[in-house]
Amino acid sequence: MFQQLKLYRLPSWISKRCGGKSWSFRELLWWFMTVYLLQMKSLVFTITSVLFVTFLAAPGLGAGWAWDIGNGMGFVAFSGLLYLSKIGGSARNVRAHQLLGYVVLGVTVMHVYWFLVLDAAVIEYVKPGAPLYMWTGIAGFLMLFVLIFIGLPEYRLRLHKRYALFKSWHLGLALFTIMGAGHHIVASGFYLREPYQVALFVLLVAIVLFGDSYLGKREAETRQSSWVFIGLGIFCVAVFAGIRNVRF
Amino acid sequence: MLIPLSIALLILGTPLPVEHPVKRHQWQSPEPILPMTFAHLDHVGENCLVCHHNYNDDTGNLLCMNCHVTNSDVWPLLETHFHDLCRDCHEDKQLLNEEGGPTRACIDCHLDGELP
Repeated sequence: MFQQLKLYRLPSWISKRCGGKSWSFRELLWWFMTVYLLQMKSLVFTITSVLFVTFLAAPGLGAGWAWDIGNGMGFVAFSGLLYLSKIGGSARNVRAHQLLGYVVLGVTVMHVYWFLVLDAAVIEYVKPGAPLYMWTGIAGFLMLFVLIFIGLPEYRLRLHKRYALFKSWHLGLALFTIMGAGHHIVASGFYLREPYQVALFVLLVAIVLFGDSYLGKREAETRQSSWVFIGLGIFCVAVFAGIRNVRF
Repeated sequence: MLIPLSIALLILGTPLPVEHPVKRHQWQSPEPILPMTFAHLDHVGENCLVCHHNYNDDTGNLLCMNCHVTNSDVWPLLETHFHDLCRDCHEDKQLLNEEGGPTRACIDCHLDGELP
């Protein structure tokens, strides 16, 4: 049915480039998705490049479906954490920032509980005696909770009378959260196994955090960023685990 | 909701009906350690000396654990030694596109079974 349907008249400059042909629903959908993702270029860049770095040294090395899916979720959560630094400012963007914060927290919770439920021995790695990288990961996880809750108006106004003070605390804690999560990823040393991967990973974090002039500080449709993040995250986790576990 | 669930999970372990490894004093270890298993049958193609260095260097003639948990020099490195030995070999196999053992999944090795 959709194949027969003629939708909107496309702008003439696009129509001319396509030889004046009429567009099917599917073609239009692809076109809109492409334009949409281009508008979200820094989100797409952040998620895909963080995952891409993990494939550089040993793309086929995996830890089994369950572990790779769980770790894929961890990488997506980390990308979301980085991307949160890109949205803010106007009231609309602040709302998008809040929503994405909840989504990132949700993905992090899934990453943590995925392992605790699926692997009965992992629990020993969240108890005294666990390696340092587990403690930095746990610290990052707890700080993410703190970051979100001190950002809620009822707590924020009680803790910080001045918005500027809140903002500097929020930013400082966010940097510590990223450092904790980053150390957890790097020091666990399975997906980032070579020094050049670690260097690229650190460079990537710096680019996303400080490379405003290249990636754009504010995005056009930040309201939708949570949905794009979820969709892209599911796709990336599937690719992350699939490449490592499907034998070609 | 999340906090009580987390506490329950930390105390009781996974709710899935699977075997739960329990830390205990094993092989006269000074501190409780997780059980470990090693499937010799899955490793018949390997050179015994890769793991049993004591066959070659006269450092003992007993099970791995008899020295690795009782010798005060190597005991602190028990986890590092065995993780590195097992996982590195499994990873190398996988990178060569061969059938390798577990590379990360803890529960695949930390269960009671055949002694290392």
